[in-house]
Amino acid sequence: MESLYIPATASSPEIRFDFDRHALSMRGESYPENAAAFYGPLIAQLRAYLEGCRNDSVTMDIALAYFNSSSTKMLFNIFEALNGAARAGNTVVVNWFHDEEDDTILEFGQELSDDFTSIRFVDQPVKSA
Amino acid sequence: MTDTLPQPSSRSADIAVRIGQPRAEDLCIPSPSVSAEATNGQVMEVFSRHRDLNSLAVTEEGRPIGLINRGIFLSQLSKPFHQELYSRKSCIAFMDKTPLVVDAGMSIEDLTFRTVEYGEKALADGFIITREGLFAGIGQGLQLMQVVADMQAARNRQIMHSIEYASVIQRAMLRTSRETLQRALPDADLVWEPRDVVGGDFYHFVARPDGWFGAVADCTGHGVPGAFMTLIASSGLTQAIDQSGPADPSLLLGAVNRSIKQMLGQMGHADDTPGSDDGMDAACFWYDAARRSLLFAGARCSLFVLHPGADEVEMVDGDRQGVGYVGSDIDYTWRNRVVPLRAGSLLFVTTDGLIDQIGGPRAIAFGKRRIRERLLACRDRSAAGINLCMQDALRAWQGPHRRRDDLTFFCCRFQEPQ
Repeated sequence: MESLYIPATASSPEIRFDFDRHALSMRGESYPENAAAFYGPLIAQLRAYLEGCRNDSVTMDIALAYFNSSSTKMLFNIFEALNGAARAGNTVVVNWFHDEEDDTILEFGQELSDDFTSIRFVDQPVKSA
Repeated sequence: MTDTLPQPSSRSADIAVRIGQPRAEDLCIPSPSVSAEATNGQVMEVFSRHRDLNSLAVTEEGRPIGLINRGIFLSQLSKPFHQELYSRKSCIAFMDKTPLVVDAGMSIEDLTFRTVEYGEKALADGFIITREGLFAGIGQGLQLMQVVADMQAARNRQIMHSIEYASVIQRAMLRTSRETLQRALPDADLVWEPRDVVGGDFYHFVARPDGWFGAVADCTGHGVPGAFMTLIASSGLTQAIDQSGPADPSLLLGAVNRSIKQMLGQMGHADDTPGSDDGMDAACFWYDAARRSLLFAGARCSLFVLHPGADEVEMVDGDRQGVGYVGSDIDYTWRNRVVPLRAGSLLFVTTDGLIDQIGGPRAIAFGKRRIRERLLACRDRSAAGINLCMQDALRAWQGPHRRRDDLTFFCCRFQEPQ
């Protein structure tokens, strides 16, 4: 499956979905004017990819410093799709990157890991340089 | 040889105010041209007669075939013996054979893209404008930029006027609540700052003889779509209060949930209209004067409570369920929580605009911890003083970063019973 790459803008994250290598990543900030327009097509591609996964080991790296409420909704949809793939027998690991002092992002990650229990959730605090 | 005198150029400012979309012809400056048979000597004469002429079009039976740039032409002819060698020869020798040629009817937008595509040459030398293929005049790059800038400014002005008027409506909707707040609560303060003139945050206050009700809410989106959502949610809330009174926050959140879902058709829609998956985070609270306690129901919102003498700010978390949205249950019941209060207890409620604002040396969220620290540090001030303290802290934290979201926060201190 062809991989998906969307470069970051000030208000939308970089998306790097390397489907063949089962390596997905999202990094940056997310507050696009129209979150559904930004995330809709990429979630559709993600779902199509996950449907084809059989006993695969999928890794999603997420490093988001900010996301607004409509993006939060979209993140939930992404996690729902990943959780479904995990329940279908795949191994899904989410690496949740955040600044070690950023309690807000840490807390949100904990909420996600509580909600989507089939995903192996790895908290990845990042130390300052 | 034709040599028309250039007429006074049309002013771009006039173009911008004119009704209708400007076109290439609005930039057309009638300019002299020479036919292909003209000699370099004759071109020299034209350039010396028209001191301001930067580019001279060359035509063949009225159709443009090239453009002579003044600077290039003069520097060529000033080379040793060039004047003697070339002045009787055809002017084709020093002309640019591929200038940008556009039809007078071309829109400014297309013209801009064509000019940029063509590169520096079209901006510096200008471009030839034709009518039905015949030379009509020359347009200048600088003037094109002026027209584009004017168009841009006019569009922005139009959008901003529209949003500013929308803001009048949104503020009118909030005014009654603000007046209630001022009347009913002596030591209370509210900060409401939409990021983009209008926004997705709103508040609602109602005073009754036996207590008062407050709501601070953050609808999905900001700007115009956010403001639409505040109208829907706020009228849903007003209606629910009219029907059931303000004393049961859980019931009110449930009613707003149903009204958002119904109004936006979030329960399965038949046509192909792009569905709305919007909703809100909210804190709803009822102060029961007799019991001296607060009844709180929250949708992805928390209360910060600081009692007199306490060392720590107490957090009262709401439910993690948002109000509205396609995925929410139509019958979801938010939990009412009782928060006992004492005279002097402080209540602080905020939307995520404050909590999530990026800033500081590491460009991370402001976070709840810093809010608690500020509350402890400023606890002896009035509610307005505490909010000022919070605004200063946010400004310092935000620094050069962009404001990410709308901002609303409310602070009040509970009084001795009257």
